Formats: sequence, C-alpha cells, structure tokens
Amino acid sequence: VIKQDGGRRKSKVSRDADIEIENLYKAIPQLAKVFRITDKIGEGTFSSVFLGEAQMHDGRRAMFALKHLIPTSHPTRIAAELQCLTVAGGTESVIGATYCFRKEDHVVIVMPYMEHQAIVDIIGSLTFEEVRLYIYHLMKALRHVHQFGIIHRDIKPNNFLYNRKSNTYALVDFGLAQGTADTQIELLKVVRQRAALKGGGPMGKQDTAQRSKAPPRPPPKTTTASTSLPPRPSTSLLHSSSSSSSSSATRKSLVKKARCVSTTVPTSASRTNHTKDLSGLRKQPRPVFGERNLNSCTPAAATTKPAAIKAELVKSSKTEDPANRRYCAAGRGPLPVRTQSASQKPQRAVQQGLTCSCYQSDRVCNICMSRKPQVAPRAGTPGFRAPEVLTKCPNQGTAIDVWSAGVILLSLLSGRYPFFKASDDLIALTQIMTVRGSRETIRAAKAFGKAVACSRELPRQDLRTLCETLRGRRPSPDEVTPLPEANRDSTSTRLHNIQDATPTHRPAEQHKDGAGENPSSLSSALPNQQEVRNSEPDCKVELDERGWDRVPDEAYHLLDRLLDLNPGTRMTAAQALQHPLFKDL
Amino acid sequence: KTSGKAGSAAKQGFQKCKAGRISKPFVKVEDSSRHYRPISLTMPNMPVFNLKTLPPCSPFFVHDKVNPGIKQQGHRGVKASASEERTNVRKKKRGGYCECCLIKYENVSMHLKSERHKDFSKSDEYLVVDQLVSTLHCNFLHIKSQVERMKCSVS
Ligand SMILES: Nc1ncnc2c1ncn2[C@@H]1O[C@H](COP(=O)(O)OP(=O)(O)O)[C@@H](O)[C@H]1O
Ligand SMILES: [Mg+2]
Ligand SMILES: [Mg+2]
Ligand SMILES: [Zn+2]
Ligand SMILES: [Zn+2]
Repeated sequence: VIKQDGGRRKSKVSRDADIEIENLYKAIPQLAKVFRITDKIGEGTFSSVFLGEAQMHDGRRAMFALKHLIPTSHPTRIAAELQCLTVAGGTESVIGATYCFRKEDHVVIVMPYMEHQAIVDIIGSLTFEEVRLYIYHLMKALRHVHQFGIIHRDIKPNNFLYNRKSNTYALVDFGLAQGTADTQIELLKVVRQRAALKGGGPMGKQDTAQRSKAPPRPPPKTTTASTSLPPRPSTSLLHSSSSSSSSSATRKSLVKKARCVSTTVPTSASRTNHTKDLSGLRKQPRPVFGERNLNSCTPAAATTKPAAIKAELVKSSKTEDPANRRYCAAGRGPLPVRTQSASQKPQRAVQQGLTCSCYQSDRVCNICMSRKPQVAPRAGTPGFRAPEVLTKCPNQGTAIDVWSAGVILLSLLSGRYPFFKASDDLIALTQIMTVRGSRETIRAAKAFGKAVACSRELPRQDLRTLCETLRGRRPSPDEVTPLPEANRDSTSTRLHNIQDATPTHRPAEQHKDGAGENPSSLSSALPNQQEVRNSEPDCKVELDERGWDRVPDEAYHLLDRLLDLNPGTRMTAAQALQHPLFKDL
Repeated sequence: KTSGKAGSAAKQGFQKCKAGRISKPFVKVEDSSRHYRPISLTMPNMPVFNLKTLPPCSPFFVHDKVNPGIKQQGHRGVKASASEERTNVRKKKRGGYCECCLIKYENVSMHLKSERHKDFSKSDEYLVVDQLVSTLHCNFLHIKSQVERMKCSVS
C-alpha cells in the first residue's frame, strides 16, 4: 500500500510524507479504521500534523487535523494540551479537540481541519482590513483562553490559523500552555504541583530545541517562592492574601497590584538541598515541566509572602548607595526562613551577606557572578517573547500572550515577518529597545523587578513612521539607519521613579498615545512625508493600496498598548476588544 | 561562569561577560533582589533597523554568520516558509530530550526503542491521557482502511 501510494506522488517530499503516514498507521493501528490520511500538513516543534478524512456516524465526511505528538512528550503535558482543547476550545476561534487516540507512547489529537494560509506567505498581500479582523479574532481567542486561566505561551502566526476565503480563524497549539494561579484547567494545576514537587529547570521545549547546540545551562538551584501571575486575581491565592478589600477593588488595579508585587518577589531560599529526587533531576538539561515549577509554590509561600515583599520592594528600590545595601540584605533575611519548604535550607544567608557594588553598573565581579542564575519560564518562540520573559521575570501571566499578539500586529502593520529575529534573549531585548526605546524599557523593567542597563541609548520609534517605512510607504535612506549613539551609560539614569514599582501607584504612562507624538530616530532620519491618508481616495489606487494608505491612528494606538513594556499596564485581551479600532465589530 | 545562554551567544560572536568591566555596547539585566547572577551581553553589532531589507523579511540585519537568515527569506517561494526551513534543520539533528525518561538523546528513533523508554510507554503514566479520552465521544464510522485508502488514492 505504501508503494502504491508513494508511486502516485511525484516529489520526494510527499513520498517522505507517505512514509510518515504509514508509520503513523503502524504506531496507532486504530487510526486506519477511521481515517484516510492523505497528507502531512504541518510539522511543529514537537509534533507532526496530518490531514485525515473520516466518515461520521451521521454519514457526512469530514476532514481532520491529526496531531501526532512526539512520543518523548510527557503524558501529563499531552493531557494538559488535550484538556485545554476540550475545555476551552471549539468556540471563539479556538480550535477544539474531536477525539484522541493513543497507543503506548503515541498520541494523536484529532481536531477539525482548518484550511489556512501561512501568514508568512500572504503577508505581502493582506489588506489592512484583513489585519484588523485577524487581530480582532486573535484578541477574542485570547480573551477566551485567558478567562480559563490558560497562558498559551506560544502566540504567533503559525499558531493562529487564518482562512482568507472563509474569514475564519483558529488558535491552535496548547503544547506549551501553562496555567495561571487560578486556572480552571485541572491538568495545568496538576502540572504545577508535580513540578513543584520535582523541581526542575527553566527550559521550555522550543527553547531547548533551539539551543540544542549550546552547552546545557547550569542546573537551577533555586525555585522562586511565588505564584504565577493571576489574570483573575479575585480568586487567586496571591490576591486574597495581599489585599483585604479584594472584592471592592477593580480588576485592573488588582492585576497590576498582583503583578507588581509578585514580580519582585525574591527567591524564597536557595534550593541547595540535595535530596535524591532533586539532584537526579538537576543533571537533566530540561526536566519535565521544569519551567512550570517556577510559577508554582507551596500554598504557604504564596499566602505569606506578598505583604513582606511589598516592603522589600520599596527598600530595594532605594538601596542605591552601598550604605543601604546591608539593611536591604538584612531585611530579606527572614523571608527565606518563612517561606522555606521542609526540604530547603537557609544556606543562602551566607551568600546574601556578600554584596557587591556592581548592581546597575557596567561591571560584574566574582561575587555577583557566583550567584545562582535566576530561572524563569521562557518557553515560546524567541521573537515573540515579552520583555518580562526575556529578562527572566519569574512571574509571568496572560500578559505575555498579549505582547506576542502585539508583535504579530507590528509584523502585519509593517509587512515584515518575522519582525524580531534574534538568537539570544538579550539580543531580542535589544531589538525591542530599538523599537520601544531603551529608557522606556529600563523604566518598565524596574516595575517588574528587573534592573536593565543598556550602554547605548536607543530612542523609541514612532510606530506609524516605523511601520510605514518598513512597508516602503515612506522613502528609506540608502543606508542602514544609524541609530544615534548617545553612549550615555544608562546606569546613570537609574531609579528615578520608585512609584513605577509600587502597586498602589499608577506608573507614569509615558507613551499613552503611540501615534506620532514623539521624536524618533526614524522620523528624523527620514524625510517626513506629507499625509496622504486623507486625500480623496481614487478607487483604483485604493485597491492597490489595500487600505494601507489609510491606516487609522487607532491601529498604532492599539499596537502601542499591546506592546506596553510593562505587563502590569499592558492592555488585556478583553480591553483590546473594547478598543476604538474595533468599535464597529 | 555565565549561563548557557550567554555561552551560545558567545559562539555566535557575541561576548559573554567575565568579571570586570563589561565592554560596550552591552545590555545587562539584573533582578532587583540582587540574589541572582546578572546576565549581560556585549554586542559588537548592536541590532539596528536595516531599511535596505525588503518586505517581508525582518528589518533586523543579522550579523552572525551562523544565522544568515534574512537574504534567503526574501527570496523564498510560497511553500518554503521560514517555519518549514526550521523544520528541516531540526529533522537533520533529531537530537532532543525525553520528558518521560528525563534524558537527552541523540537520535529519537533509537531512543524510542530503548528499554527505558519502552517501559515508560507501557506504564500507567498514560492513564491521565486515557482518562480524558474516555470523556470524549468517538463519532467516527469504521472504514475498511486498506481498501478504502487504495481506492481513494487512485481517484
Ligand atoms: N486544526 C488544524 N487544522 C489545520 N492545520 C492545523 C491544525 N492544527 C495544526 N495545524 C497545522 O500544523 C501546524 C503545527 O501544529 P501545532 O499544533 O502548532 O503543533 P506544534 O506544537 O508542533 O507547533 C500548525 O502550525 C498548522 O499549520
Ligand atoms: Mg505550533
Ligand atoms: Mg507547540
Ligand atoms: Zn558584583
Ligand atoms: Zn524516553
């Protein structure tokens, strides 16, 4: 049968697909009783997706996408993905699961087939209206999964399918999903607990795949004692413990509060114990669900920490001069003790005593370099990672998906895919800074507990100018745009705004309106073109322009709010749906 | 010591940091708790917008030779998308990490045949999947697969 099928095909590629199809039939013979598998339609990082046709009990024939997961996936991960699909999927442009087949380690998730065009292939021909609708439906899908406490973690065009003819959309691929602290997806909770018990490393799947050439990371020695960022803090441990007037406060402010507080939680204690379980795992470059443990913790830790942390936060923000540093370190002393689990020892105290003066300077010394590396979830696709992911913020929430959606919008508005292209997280962060500004990034990072220094000042770009230039709608200079080299050591501008980090204060909104109100290197480097958007539309021209001659300011305003560097103030998917850009939808 | 991450960057021509002054231009990130090792990276070539790149490729010129990316993408045909290329690269390596056995492997098919993995694949670890599946309804009609497949593939 293989031979016959294969002979029919012309290219080597499809013959390869046929071999894979036959192997799949062999791996799960049950499939052959139900499906006629005709093609391979996708290969993601950890799966192969096939096209299958089946006859239903009601007599109709239907097409399905059969996702064959790599058999090295842990069953709990597989089950969590399946549960996301069955619980949250099937509506709101989120793909559902029709069924699932398993034989031993081979699992196939059956989903309705969604014919689609790869964004990378159609990005040059999309109309602005298509982009607007695409983002709108993406936001609907995100709002929906976020309501279930699912952080998708891998939002990118390949995972948000688009059928141009039928104007349909499908969010797929919950293979990297994580639960928020109050997730409704049981298995995402289970995973959290498992991970907490097992301990583990920071690596996400794709992350590991990418870095397979790189030397394995030093094994993580600690875990953070904090909950993951709750998108719906009203029921989260963190929230209930950190606020007594929970019900009266608005959701937004709670989210902000939770974010701000939790993101500055110092590690509870170094996991310096060497129990059998942990030391075994620690040798592994990527323990099962390793990164999930970062957002998990013992309930005790979650309930006891926040108040203390808030105090800590203010202190550490003020401890710029060495004299204060001791106080700060001393202030942290009791925390590890209080939050330690039975298996953790306060060995950290010794190291904590050793302070150095490298903080926010252009130096590192043996003291700070001997500290343990911080571990934080970073699964996902490099160019789509939010700043809080890139800077290893241990508490990450649904806002990371919104950032990724913002990157998609940036990509679609500028006609560039991928937009960010970086092999390293700090390169990715720098690329973000070239768009959003280094000062702005430094300020935002401070709000989530990270001190970022960039030796060069990178000015924030005006988003419209940037997108129109990259789209070729504005003349571009002959040469690579030289960015101003201020060579200002940014560490000199540090810590000017403690309020940014204080949950009760609204951080200064530096760029509330992203459209065209700030000087930028691009607009100054380029001849400033006259507005053409409001000129009388010539029908023919309009067709050719596909709406790109009249992109409303709202589009860039939304982009600005999705690409808010601070997850605490970043727009949520629910808020995005209320944005004026979508007022007629 | 720096993280593996910086190590990989070093391979690509970026400098990982050592004790001392960090050469410019650099980016440094520290947790404000100061409990963790700072991460920093010297980038001899800071990312800049390369406005000579044509849509749809990334505006960031990639300087490292390991990752020539951009030029090819601009010229690629419809089907040979960026994602597909990554896939092909990955296929060739095939190495990875097994979440079930908690070990790294060089060759996935070899690993799947190993005793350790086979034991795991027959274990009741998969009950969590089965349990979920048992809540789903199978609405598929059974077909005679062999005959059916040949018939259809001819048509
Ligand atoms: N329901 C579906 N209908 C059509 N194509 C799909 C469907 N699900 C996945 N695909 C295709 O397969 C690719 C990989 O699937 P995905 O679930 O993202 O797997 P991975 O986790 O390996 O990335 C997708 O990018 C898409 O092209
Ligand atoms: Mg995918
Ligand atoms: Mg995936
Ligand atoms: Zn130091
Ligand atoms: Zn295995």
